[in-house]
Amino acid sequence: MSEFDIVNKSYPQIDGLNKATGKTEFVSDLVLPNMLYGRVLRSPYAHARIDHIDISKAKSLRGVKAVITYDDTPRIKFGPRSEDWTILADGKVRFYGDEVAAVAAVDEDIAEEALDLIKVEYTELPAVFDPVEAMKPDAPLVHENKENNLAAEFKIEAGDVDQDLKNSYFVYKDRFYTNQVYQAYLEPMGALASVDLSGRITLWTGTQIPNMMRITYAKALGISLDKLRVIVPDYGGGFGAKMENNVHLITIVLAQKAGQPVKLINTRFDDFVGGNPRVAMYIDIKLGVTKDGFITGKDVHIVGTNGARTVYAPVIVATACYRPDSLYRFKSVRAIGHTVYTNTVPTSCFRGFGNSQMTFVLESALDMIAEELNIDPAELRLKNGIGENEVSIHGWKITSNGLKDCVLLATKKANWNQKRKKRKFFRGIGLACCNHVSGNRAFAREFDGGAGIVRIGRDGNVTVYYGESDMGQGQKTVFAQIVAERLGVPLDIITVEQVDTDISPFGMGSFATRGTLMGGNGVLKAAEDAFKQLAAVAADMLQAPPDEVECKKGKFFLKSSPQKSVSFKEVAEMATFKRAGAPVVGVGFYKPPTELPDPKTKYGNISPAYPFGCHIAEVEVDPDTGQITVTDYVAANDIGRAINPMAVEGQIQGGVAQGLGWTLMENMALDDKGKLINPDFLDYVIPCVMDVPEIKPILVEPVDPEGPYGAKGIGEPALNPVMAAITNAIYNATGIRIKELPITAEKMLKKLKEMKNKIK
Amino acid sequence: MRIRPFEYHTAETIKEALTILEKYGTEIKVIAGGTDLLLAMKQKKILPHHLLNLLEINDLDYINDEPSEIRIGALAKHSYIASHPIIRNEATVLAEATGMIGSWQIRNVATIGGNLCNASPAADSAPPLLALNAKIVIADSKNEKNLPISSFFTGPGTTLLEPDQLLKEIIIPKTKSRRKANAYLKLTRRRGVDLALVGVAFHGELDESGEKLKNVAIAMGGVAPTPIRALEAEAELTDLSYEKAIKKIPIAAKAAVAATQPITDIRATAEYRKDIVDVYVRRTATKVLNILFNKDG
Repeated sequence: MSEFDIVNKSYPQIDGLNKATGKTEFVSDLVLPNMLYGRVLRSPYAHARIDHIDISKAKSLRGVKAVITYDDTPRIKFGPRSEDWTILADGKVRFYGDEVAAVAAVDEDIAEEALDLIKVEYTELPAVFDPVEAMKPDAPLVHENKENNLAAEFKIEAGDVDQDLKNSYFVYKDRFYTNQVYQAYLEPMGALASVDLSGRITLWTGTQIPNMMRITYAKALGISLDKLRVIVPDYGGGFGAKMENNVHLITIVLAQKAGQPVKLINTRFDDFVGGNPRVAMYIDIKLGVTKDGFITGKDVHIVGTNGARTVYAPVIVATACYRPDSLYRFKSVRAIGHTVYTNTVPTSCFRGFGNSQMTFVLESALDMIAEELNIDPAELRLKNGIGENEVSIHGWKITSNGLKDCVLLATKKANWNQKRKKRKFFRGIGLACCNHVSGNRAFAREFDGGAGIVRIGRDGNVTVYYGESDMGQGQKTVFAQIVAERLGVPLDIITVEQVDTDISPFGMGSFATRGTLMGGNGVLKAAEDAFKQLAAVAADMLQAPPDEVECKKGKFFLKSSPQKSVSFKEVAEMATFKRAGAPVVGVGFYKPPTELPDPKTKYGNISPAYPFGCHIAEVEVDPDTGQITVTDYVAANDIGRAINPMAVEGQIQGGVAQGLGWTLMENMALDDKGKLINPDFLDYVIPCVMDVPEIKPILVEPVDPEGPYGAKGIGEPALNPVMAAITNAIYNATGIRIKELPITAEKMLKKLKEMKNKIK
Repeated sequence: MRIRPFEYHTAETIKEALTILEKYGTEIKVIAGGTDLLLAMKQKKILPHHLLNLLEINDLDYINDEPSEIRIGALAKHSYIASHPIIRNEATVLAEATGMIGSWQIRNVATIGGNLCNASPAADSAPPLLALNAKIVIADSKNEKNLPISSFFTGPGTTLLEPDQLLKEIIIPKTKSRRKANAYLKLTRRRGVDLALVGVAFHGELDESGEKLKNVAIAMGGVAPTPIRALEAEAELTDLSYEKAIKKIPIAAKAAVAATQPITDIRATAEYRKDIVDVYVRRTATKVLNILFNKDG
């Protein structure tokens, strides 16, 4: 029996019925009076000088209300991490899909027709698409002032790597490549913008970072923060992509220019060529071990694709450089990460944030080491895995830690020992582990933490305001459960409001698997505050001291004599009357005990809690066609105490399916001119239900001292180990090590043939 | 991706449809399920000024079982064909192939006539019909004619259909053999909702003695400008006993590969498509032979 009434129990998403029945209003569904529709004209070249733009014909088309180019924007250089953005192209386009001009018209057909009437003369320039090529001295420069196209360099070192590698019994050395993939959320990026008479802007958009976005956009528009209100309605997924993007700013400038509200939602084509896909990386690794399987040193060099302007690629490359260093007990580590400008779409966050790229590499390397040393791969992980209450090489304070249980439970469920022993032709089983964070102090700007507001009106209904962002992953449900548990009321009287920067707390947002822990603690503290206020009123009504009062299932009662009770509703009403109509408002916040990493050594504790995981995949390879089938999948994730086990299972299953797609089929393919040749779901193939086996989640639930009710995050660690689990299984099935993603059937067959020729 | 304005016509009889087609000639495009046409219009690959809807035409979505043939109306939907008992029994390979087209939703609206007239080299319904020696009925305002389906396709996206003509019906002749079997295999990048990178249909029958293979037909999609037959491969297997035929399959498969001229594109290289033809001819042939000769396999 659970000690809780509401948390640690599976409930359907509180907005699930509305979504399933089509009642939910997503960003794309919003309509305002006199609203116009916007469209963006994008560059057909990867790199070109704009010689001339003629918008006269487009402007005179009936129904067109605004046509904008760079000259109509505030002409400010800005960017979330590096000031290399302008709202529209300033004399030069830098990637296929770069924003050149935009139109607002009374309907979408006219807006699109107007795009065709804008005449742009370009002079094509030499371009570069590969980050390694881009670093060469004679490569074309994406930005004239960025030497060697270097967007950022990250260095980290702890211990004596050279010495440790020299003393190692075996050093595994190889180069891996992780490709560029698209987040493939259901609703493309876009926004609705409205400007009032004072010039104050309201922006409705699906964003994971309403407050951080506001900082970037206020700068871009040359306005003060208070002139921009951001509202986050329900939106169709993000997976990391929905941070800053020019499409939002273009919508605002169009609305300013037209003097009418403008809605601009990307077409799927626009979203493919102008979104913010995953950072592709070349990763060189050297990993040493002792004879009995203890990891010694790790030396890594990463070259990552920034794209034509900086979104978050440098921090993602940095994360790849060192995040899994806190998964095992390394003696020494060193990494250099170069983030390099290319004439390709700007890259950014995607579930895993660099850790997924590096986990693929590290867990592949460990698999090779296990073979070299003739140690079981699971045993190798158990031997080196960081433990509870340990401090990692970079100063991360690991508190709750279910890594060992994840390995033990996953191997048991997958029947690992027996299956590894009994080899079958072209069938294999593979394992990979991962760690992650629940919030990243190094990424959050201004402050870290979470806050909440809990309002109880005279009817006893509870409204929760939070500052993160529910993109469909289930934050609202989790927060409602936490508040209901703390107040002692049923779940169905809780409403969770959309994030509105005029009303909600200023949350940092949804990234770094931080929502449940940071936002959850924020609303928990707010619920505590509200509870105290209500308990005082209830105590009066029950004629007892406040600390004698408890509330469960919507009833306040005395701990000593539970039959003496008064309903939550009556208490709420009394509280409101006593205060002449003022509702009970609880406000609370959570400041995590994190430490900003030292700028030089990067030593510090970036998160209050660290989730772990161990996944096991089984595959079958068709030796004639190269087709790879994932036949079975066990996913054990340490998530602290699950607030909603069913929602956690959903996250795990989604993460595995997404990782499977990346491993086996997904790839953004460019032609030799840098043009994306598969900007649609016909040729950008993502898995369908038939490709995904039954995924068996195992929830490992060590109660975390910092988490709300002991919970940690799950979003990203659901995906991190998938690629290596599958490719390690492929290795087990075929003896072929996959070093480049994705491994399509055709590529697999080619490798099988090469191996056959070698054996001959 | 918005669709440009066009004038919409609808016909309730074939005669009416043919009159409208004659009037507008190259200006008009025919729409039935629309699953290919609307995509092409959104992508502005074609910008017709007029569209003619055929779906209101009564009784052109039939599957009729006649003594010597099966007749399929051009408006028959893939889901109907794939699940129809006559097709499943008499033309299994067509049921298999139409059952793999797109998704459930696509199969519920897309028609066999549309699949053929769109003339994708990889159209799933084409290889089975080629292998079954199907005929097609083409109508214009003056008359109707029967043609072997093998003469219908002229290139990627093109057929011998004139602008004023309609594909009305598909006729699958019934074989008199005591025993026949066929199979279809399709290479996709995922296990559903994908087009064929390669499609292979294999058909075979037993002769009167029940000892030897006859009427072998191998048809392939996605490996040439049009769906094609592999005549030399078929000849390799004809008139052979089970044991001989099984041994000959690899040679037949090589002959089938030799008949292809695939392209390299984002979906697959020419080399891989050839590899797959080899594998799929072997697999479909083995399956069909085992059924015909009652072997476990």
